[in-house]
Amino acid sequence: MANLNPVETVEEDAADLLFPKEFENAETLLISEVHMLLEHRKKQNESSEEEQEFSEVFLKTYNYTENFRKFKNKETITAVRALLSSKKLHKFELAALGNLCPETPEETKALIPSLEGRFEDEQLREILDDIGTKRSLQY
Amino acid sequence: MSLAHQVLIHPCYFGPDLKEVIQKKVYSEVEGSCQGYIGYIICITAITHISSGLIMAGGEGMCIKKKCQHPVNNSKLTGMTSFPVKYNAIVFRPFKNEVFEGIVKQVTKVGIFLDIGPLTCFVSHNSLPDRMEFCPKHDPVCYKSKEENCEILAVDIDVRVKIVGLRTDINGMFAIGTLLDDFLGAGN
Repeated sequence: MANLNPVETVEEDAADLLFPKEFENAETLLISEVHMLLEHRKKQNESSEEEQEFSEVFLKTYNYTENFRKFKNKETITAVRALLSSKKLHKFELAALGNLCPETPEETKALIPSLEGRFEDEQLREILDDIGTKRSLQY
Repeated sequence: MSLAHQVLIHPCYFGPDLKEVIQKKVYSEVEGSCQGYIGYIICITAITHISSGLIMAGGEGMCIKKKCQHPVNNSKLTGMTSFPVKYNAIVFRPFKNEVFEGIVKQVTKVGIFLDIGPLTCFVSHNSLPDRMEFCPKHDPVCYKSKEENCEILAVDIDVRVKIVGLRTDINGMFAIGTLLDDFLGAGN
């Protein structure tokens, strides 16, 4: 029983970018990307002969991504990811920025406190404006 | 992210289709489950490796190599074989102090319940802004701000919430959230 790892002892705090070590090598995805992957899976399932039923978790997540995805087509997602990857962002911050799409630097720093002190307001504003333009230009 | 899982296969499935049987079993056992500190496993993207199997001694779940608390009973040898499998999957794991958008599912006197995908999040009325007041007579039941600026929390409204605590049990995760911070709440 000694190797049971109780959740409580794992230090984690998204504000300080502290994550359990299992997640060190994990990639983060934007909600829009998850939506695309799940959509693909759904289509695959529909076209296959023996259709399997999806779990509740799958369907709930699918509906959630449908509701809250910010970018609706592949080109926009790729462009946003490229834009964010070119900045010195932690992968968690990258996903948080792309998922929440804040509008002002103040809002951004309140929602993602780890950005505080590492980016000037001007730099943040530039990133946010770029994301905003890409969002408004999708189809 | 990359994860590992063990599947138990009965010997009656051994044959040319063994690989397929293992893959199917991994999908059905793992997808949609919630595993401790890993979080919700939403969808497997690829099975990367299937190692050679290990025949178990005794019934299900008793393995020779692991220290087993029950005495191994030879009369119960079933030949169940365990295959360690490695796979990549999309997981959903909320972290403390992370901000999410969710949909209000239920409004009660003690607080509101939100759905963030598969995760349920509770926001106590103490964690709602002071200006918000519970209006049981309003239809639908909601929290409303005292000033007439139409801030309203009711079912089906999108809300931004910050996670302050997480609890994991066998069936899933449960989160406690707060709206007491700048830029949180409805209408963003």
